[in-house]
Amino acid sequence: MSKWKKFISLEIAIEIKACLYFGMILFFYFVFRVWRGSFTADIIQMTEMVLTAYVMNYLQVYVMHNFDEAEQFGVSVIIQCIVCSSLYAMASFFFGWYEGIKAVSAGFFLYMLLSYLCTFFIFKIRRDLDTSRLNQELEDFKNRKKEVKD
Amino acid sequence: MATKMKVTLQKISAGDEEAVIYYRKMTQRIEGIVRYLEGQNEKMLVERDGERIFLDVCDILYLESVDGATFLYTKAEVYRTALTLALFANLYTEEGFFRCNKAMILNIYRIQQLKSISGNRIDAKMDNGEHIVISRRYAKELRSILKGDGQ
Repeated sequence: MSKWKKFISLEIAIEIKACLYFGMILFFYFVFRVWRGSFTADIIQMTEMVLTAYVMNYLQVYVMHNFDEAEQFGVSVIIQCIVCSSLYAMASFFFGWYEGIKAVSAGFFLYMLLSYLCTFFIFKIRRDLDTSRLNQELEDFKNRKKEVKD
Repeated sequence: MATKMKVTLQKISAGDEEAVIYYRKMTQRIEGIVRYLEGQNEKMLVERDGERIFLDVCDILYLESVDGATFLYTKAEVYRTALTLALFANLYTEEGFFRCNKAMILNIYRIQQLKSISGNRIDAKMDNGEHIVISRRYAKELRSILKGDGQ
């Protein structure tokens, strides 16, 4: 595959994941807004969330070896989950998504940590299911040849 | 090491020659015997240490092209062939050979296990324990072959 195609394919993967994380951030933000008695969302803050998710996913893919899609759940995955969740929490505090309330930003940190763990296990379960389907298809493929011979 | 098999031979004066095999479980060894008796064994000329021999195509696990030379890997040996990967793929696609990247062809029938890995790639564990990673592009093709769409 050419370098250009590789780059484009990686870019698309980053954008899809950025959308996924943006959706998760947005859910927490909406719950917070409702809790504060507001039924409106700030477009500027939503833009900040999209850009933060985009930058964070660049970091995840290029620096942290796509840890949320890692094969094994180990210490390095946990550390990287904590680092990224902390960065999100810091961004939320810096941009004032939660009106500068530290306790909410701390809650957001825990929420993002949980989101990372869920994402990791969802990807892992998806791969495990795919693996068992692939092996079933491989067995069927081998059996088809035997049937033709018989 | 394969267990010894009892062989009974009976000379006949008329009628068709026939071989009947009683087996408890179909093994690669028995499959090989059946192929041999049915005359299905495709063979190809290969080279190792200057010696030329005929090798059963079904014994090949995978082929690799290194600096313009094509190497064949069986469970225990490495051979060299004059065929290019492209030519081999053309000749033996029907035998279950599949191009898994630019420089490699693998025998689907000699894959022991497949594993889905991140980035929609596939890790193929061959009969000799070797792991071959199939990139997303070729993994898509393998999936369609296994479903019966590709071959």
